[in-house]
Amino acid sequence: MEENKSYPVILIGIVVLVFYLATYILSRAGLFRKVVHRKFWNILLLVSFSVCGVLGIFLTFQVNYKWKIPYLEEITELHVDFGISLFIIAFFHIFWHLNYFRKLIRAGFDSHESESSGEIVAARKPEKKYADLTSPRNFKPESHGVLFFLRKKFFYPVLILGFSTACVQIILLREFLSVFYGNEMIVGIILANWMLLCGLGAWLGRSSGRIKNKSSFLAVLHVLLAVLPVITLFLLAFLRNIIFPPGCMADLFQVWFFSFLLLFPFCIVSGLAFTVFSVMLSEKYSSDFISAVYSLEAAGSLIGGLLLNLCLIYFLKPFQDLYLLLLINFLASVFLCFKNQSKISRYIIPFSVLCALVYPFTDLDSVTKKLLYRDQEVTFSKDTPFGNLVVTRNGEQTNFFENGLLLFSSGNISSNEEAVHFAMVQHPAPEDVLLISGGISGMFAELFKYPVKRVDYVESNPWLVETAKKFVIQKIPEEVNLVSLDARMFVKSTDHSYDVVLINLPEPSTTGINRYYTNEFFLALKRVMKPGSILSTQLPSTVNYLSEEAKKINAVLYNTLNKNFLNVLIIPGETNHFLASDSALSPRVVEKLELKNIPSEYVRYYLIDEQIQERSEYIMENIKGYNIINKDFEPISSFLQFDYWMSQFRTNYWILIMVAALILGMIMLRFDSLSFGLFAGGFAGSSIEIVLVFGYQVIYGFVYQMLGILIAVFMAGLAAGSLWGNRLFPLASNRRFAFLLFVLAMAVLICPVALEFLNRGEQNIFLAHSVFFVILFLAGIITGTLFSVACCLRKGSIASASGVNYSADLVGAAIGAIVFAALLIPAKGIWFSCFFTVFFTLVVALINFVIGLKNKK
Amino acid sequence: MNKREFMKRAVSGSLVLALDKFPMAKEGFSQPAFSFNTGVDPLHIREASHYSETAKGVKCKLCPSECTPKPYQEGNCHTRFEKDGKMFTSGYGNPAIVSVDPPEKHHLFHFFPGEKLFTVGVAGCNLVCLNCNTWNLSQVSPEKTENQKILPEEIILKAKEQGCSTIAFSHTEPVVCFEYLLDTLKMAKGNNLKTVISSCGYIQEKPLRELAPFLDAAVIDIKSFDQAIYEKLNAGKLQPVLDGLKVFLELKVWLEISFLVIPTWNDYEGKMAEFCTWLSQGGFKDCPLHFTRFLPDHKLKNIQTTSAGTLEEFRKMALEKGMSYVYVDNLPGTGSVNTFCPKCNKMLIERKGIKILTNSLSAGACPGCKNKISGMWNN
Repeated sequence: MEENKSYPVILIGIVVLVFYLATYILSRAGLFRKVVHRKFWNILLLVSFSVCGVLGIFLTFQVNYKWKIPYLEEITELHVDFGISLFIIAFFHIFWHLNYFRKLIRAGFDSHESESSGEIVAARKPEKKYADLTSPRNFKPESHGVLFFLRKKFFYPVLILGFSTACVQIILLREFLSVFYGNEMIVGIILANWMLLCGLGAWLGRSSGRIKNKSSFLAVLHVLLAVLPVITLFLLAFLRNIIFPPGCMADLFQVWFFSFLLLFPFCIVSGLAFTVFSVMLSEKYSSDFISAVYSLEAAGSLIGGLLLNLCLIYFLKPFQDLYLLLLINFLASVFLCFKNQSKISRYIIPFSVLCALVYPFTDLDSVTKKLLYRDQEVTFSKDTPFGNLVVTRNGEQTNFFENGLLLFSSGNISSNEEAVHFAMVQHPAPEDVLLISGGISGMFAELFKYPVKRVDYVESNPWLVETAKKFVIQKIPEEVNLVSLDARMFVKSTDHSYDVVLINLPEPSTTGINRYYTNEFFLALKRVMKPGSILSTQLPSTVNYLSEEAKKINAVLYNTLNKNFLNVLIIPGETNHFLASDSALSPRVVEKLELKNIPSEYVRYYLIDEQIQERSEYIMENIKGYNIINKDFEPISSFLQFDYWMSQFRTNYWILIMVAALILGMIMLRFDSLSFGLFAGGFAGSSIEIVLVFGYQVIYGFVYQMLGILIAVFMAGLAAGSLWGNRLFPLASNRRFAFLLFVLAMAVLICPVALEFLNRGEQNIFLAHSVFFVILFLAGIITGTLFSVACCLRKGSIASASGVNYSADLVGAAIGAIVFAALLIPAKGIWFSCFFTVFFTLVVALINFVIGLKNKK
Repeated sequence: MNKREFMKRAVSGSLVLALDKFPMAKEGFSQPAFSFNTGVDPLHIREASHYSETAKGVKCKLCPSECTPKPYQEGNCHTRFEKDGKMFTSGYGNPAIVSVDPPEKHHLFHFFPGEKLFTVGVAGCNLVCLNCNTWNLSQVSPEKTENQKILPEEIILKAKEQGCSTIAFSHTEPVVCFEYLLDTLKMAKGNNLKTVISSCGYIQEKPLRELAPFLDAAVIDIKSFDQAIYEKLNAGKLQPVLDGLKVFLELKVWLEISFLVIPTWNDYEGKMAEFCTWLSQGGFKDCPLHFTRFLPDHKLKNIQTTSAGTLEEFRKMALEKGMSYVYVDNLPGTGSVNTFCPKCNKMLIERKGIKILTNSLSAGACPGCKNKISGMWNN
C-alpha cells in the first residue's frame, strides 16, 4: 500500500450494509428463513476472519522471520479490507446475540447452552409446506378481459407498479447520464443493470408462495417503491464527488459498479413486486394471472412513459416528479392496507402522511445540484428533453453544462476564434453562413468580422438558446435567423445555399450525434452549398500526438468528407478542424487573417502557420491506410469514438468481458428451452426497439416526443400481446412458441429493409410513420404473446413460473440493450446486427420446435 | 454429451479462444508488459542509471515514487523496466513529439525571447494527472507510441539545421527519459547550445544534481500547494517538488514556475496565498510565476474552465506577496503576459499570446530606471 493511499472504509461499509439490509428484508419478508440469513452472514464472517487472520500470520512471518512471501505486499491490502468487513459483520453479530451477552453478564454461563441449542433445534424444524408451491395452475378465460381488470381495484396497484417503474427508470437514467459521460455503452450498462436487477428481484420472488400475508407485504413494497427512488437520486448526487474525484469521468467498470449498487434496492423491490403480485392475484381469483400482471405492468409503463416524456418533463424537476410517484405509491400502499385490514397499516399510514407532508418543504433539486456543481453558484437548472441544462457562475464567468458536460464558458475566445476563422478565412467573400450549433457561446462576434449578410443558426435544443439569452452571453444580431430544428431536417428542407457551413457539434460519441458525421449528411449539405463554399466540422484534438485510436477516427471522417469534396484539410488546434471544399484550402490561417486584416486575440497571436502546416501534413500523412467511410446505417465513427474514449482508462476490459460472459454462461446453463426462448424474445424485442428508434433519428432527426411515442407503441403492443396471449392458454405448445419466435425473427429482418426503403428519397410521411408504428406494435404483440405462452407452458407453481419467466425475459432485453445498441450497431451497422439477432432467434426457435416435436411423439 | 455438458464445453472453449485471440488478454494474464521481442528497436533500450539492487529486486531511485517493478514489468513512469536483475529504460532516442517553438509556448518568458527552441518529448510520465492534455502519450510506454528515431547527436544537428539556439525537453515529462536527456544536454553544452526542460519536477535530489550543471533553464509545473490534492489529482507528492525547486535555485539554473489553476481542485485563495508567500520568502521572488488557464481535458471533462477573474486575482495576490514577475498564460486577450519593471513599473516586453510585439530591454535591464531584470536575455 502506498503511503498516502486510503483504505476503502466507506465503500466496504456501504456494500456490506446494503447487502445486509437486503438479506434482512428478504428474510423478514419470508422469502427465506431468518436462520438462512444468519448462516449467510456467519459464513461471510468466517471468510473475513480467515482471510484477515491468515494474511496477518503471513505478515507476522515476514516481519519476524524475514520470510520472502511473493506478492504479500499486494495482498496486504486485502488483509485490511477483510479486516474492515470483519469488523462491520461482527458488529451485526453482536446485535444478534445481544440477549446472550446480556444473560451472560446477568446470569453467568449457564444460559449459553440452552440458548444456542434452542437455536439449532429451531433451525432443524421441518419446513412448512405451502400449497401453492406444488398446486396445478388453473386458467379461467372469462377472468382475463379488459373490463374484468377495470372492475377489480386490486389490479390498480399493478398499474402503479408499471407506472412508477417506467417513470423512475427514465428519471434515474437521465440523472445517471448527467453525472457520467453519456455514450451508448454507459446507457447500455445502466439499462442492463436495471433489467438484470429487476430480473433478479423477480427470480427471488419465486419463493414468495411462502409469504403468508401477501397484501401486507406488497403494501410494504409500495412504500419502498415510493421512498427508494428519492434516496437513490439523492445518493447519486451526494456520493458522486465523494467516490469519484470532482469533475472526473468514471470508467465503464466504475459506472457499472456504482449504478449496480445504487439501483440494487429499487430494482430488486420492483422485480419482487411483479412476482408477488402475480402470485397474490392468481391465488385471489384462482386463475393464472402471470401474463395478465405482465400486461398490466406494461400498460402502466406505457402510461408512465408517455406522461413523463410528453408532459411532466416540461414542468417538473426530477425530485418533483419523484414526489408525485411517492404520493401514488403511498396511495397504493394504503389501499392494500385497507383492503387487507392488516396491522402494518398502523405504521404505513402515519409514515406515508408524514413523508407526504414533509417532502414539499425540502428543496432536494437545489440541494443535489449544489452537491454536483461544487464551488459554483448554480443560477439555473432545467430538465429539457435533450437533457439536464445547468448554468453556473464562478466569478464573472458563466458556464453552461448539458448532462454534466461543459458545453461552453463565457469568454472562451480561443474556441470561438478557431471554430469561425479557420473556415471563414478560406472563402474570398463569405456572405451566407449556415451555423449548426454553438453560436451562443460567442461566435457571432467573430462571424461578423466578415462581410456576412445572413446567418442561419440551427440549434436543435431551443431551451439552450432561451437560457443563453436570459444570461446574456451574447446578443443575437438581427442578421441571424434562429432555427430550432434538428440540423438534418433543416438541411433537407431549406431552399437557401451557403458560402460557409460551420458545424460545432460534440464528437460522434453516440449514434445520435454520429448522424452529423455521415456520408449521407455531407451529401445533403453539399446540395445547399454554393460552388467553392467551405464546410467545417471537428473532432477531438490531436495537436500533440496522433494515437492509433485517434488515427482511425480522423481517417474515417477524412475519407467520408473526401468522398463528397475535392479537398479536405485538417487544422489541429483545441480541436481538429476538418475543412472540406471543392476549392483550394490553405493551412496558413494566420497569414490569411493578417492579409484580410481581421482582428483576432487568439489565432493571430497564439498560433504559428509553420507549426499548423507541419502538424496538419503529419496528421494527413499518418491517417492514410484506413479506407472506411461513415454511413447513416453503419455508424463506425461512434464505435471508433467509443474506442478512443476507452483508451483514456487503460483498463484491461477483456478480463471484465470474459467474467461477464462467464456469469452469463452460468445463468444460461440454468436455462431450459423456454427460458432460452424468452431470453431470445427479450433480446429480439429490444433489438427491434433500438434499431427502429435509431433509424427514426437518422431519417427524421431527433424528436424527443416521438421517441417517447415509439417506445410507447412497443409497450402497448407488449400489453396487448400478453393479454391476448392468455387466450391461447389451451392451445399453448412448444411448436407454437417456436412459431412465435420465428415470426419475431422475421420482424427483426423487416427492420433494416424498411429503414433502407424509407431513407431513400421522399416517402409519404403518413405511410412512413405507419411503417414504424406497425412494426413496433407487432413486435410488442409477439413479445407479449411469447411471454404468455411461456407462462402457459411453464410447469410448477405460479411464483416459480412468474419469477423464472420474467427474469429470463428481462435478462434477454438487458443483453440486447447492451450488445445491440452499444456494440453491434456502431461496429457493424444495422444489417449485420439484425442478421445476428435473426440467426440467434431462429436457432432458439429451432430448438423449441424440435422439443415440440419430441413432446408430440 | 448432454445439453449442460455441451454448454460447459462451449463456454470454456470460447474463453480459451478469446484468451488466445486478444493480445490484451494475454498481456493481462501471462505475458510481461514489456519484452525485447515486441518490436522495440534495441537502439532505444539502455541500462538505466539511478537504481539499486535490493533483496526484493531492483528499486528505481530516479523519482520519489521509488518503484520496484517485477521482472519484465514497467515502473509507474512506463519507461523503466526490470530484466534479469537490472533496470533498463526504453525511452532513449525515440521521441514521439518533435517541434520548433518559441520559448513562450513553454511558459519561458525570461529566457532569450525571440529565439527558437528545438523541442522533443518522449512517451511516459511519473505522474498520473487527471487533466493531462497529452494523456495518450504520458500514460503509455514508448514501446506503444509512434516515435521518431533521433539520437542525441541528431538532435544537435537538427536543432542547428532549423536555426534553434536551444534544445528543450518538453511536451511530456523529460525526467523519465533521464539517460537520453542527460546525454543530449551534455552534447548540447559541447556544441554551444542552450538547454531547457519543462517538467513537473518530480525527481530525486541525486539525479537532479547530476542533471543541473548541464541545464540553463527549467520550467517547473507546480500542480497544487496541498499534499492531499497532489495525491488525488496527480498521484504524486508535493514536498519532493518543493525540495527540487531549492536545488535548482542553489545550482543557479534559471527557473520559471507554472501553475495550472483548476477550478474546485487547486483554486483556493488561502492555499494560493500560502504558496506565493512560500515562494517570495524562499528566495524565488525573482522567478517568473505563470498562472495558466485550465481547459477541460482527459478525465476532467465535467469541470468548467478557469475564469479570467480568478487568474487575474491570483496574479494580483502574487504581486502583493512580493513576487516580481507574475503572468497569466493561455488566456487570449489578457494584458498580463507583458513584462513590467518591478521597480518603475515600465512595460519592457509587450506580448500578445505567445508573440512578442515590442522588447525595450537594454542589456537585460530596464531602460528607464536601469533596474536589472532577472532572466537570461539576448539584448
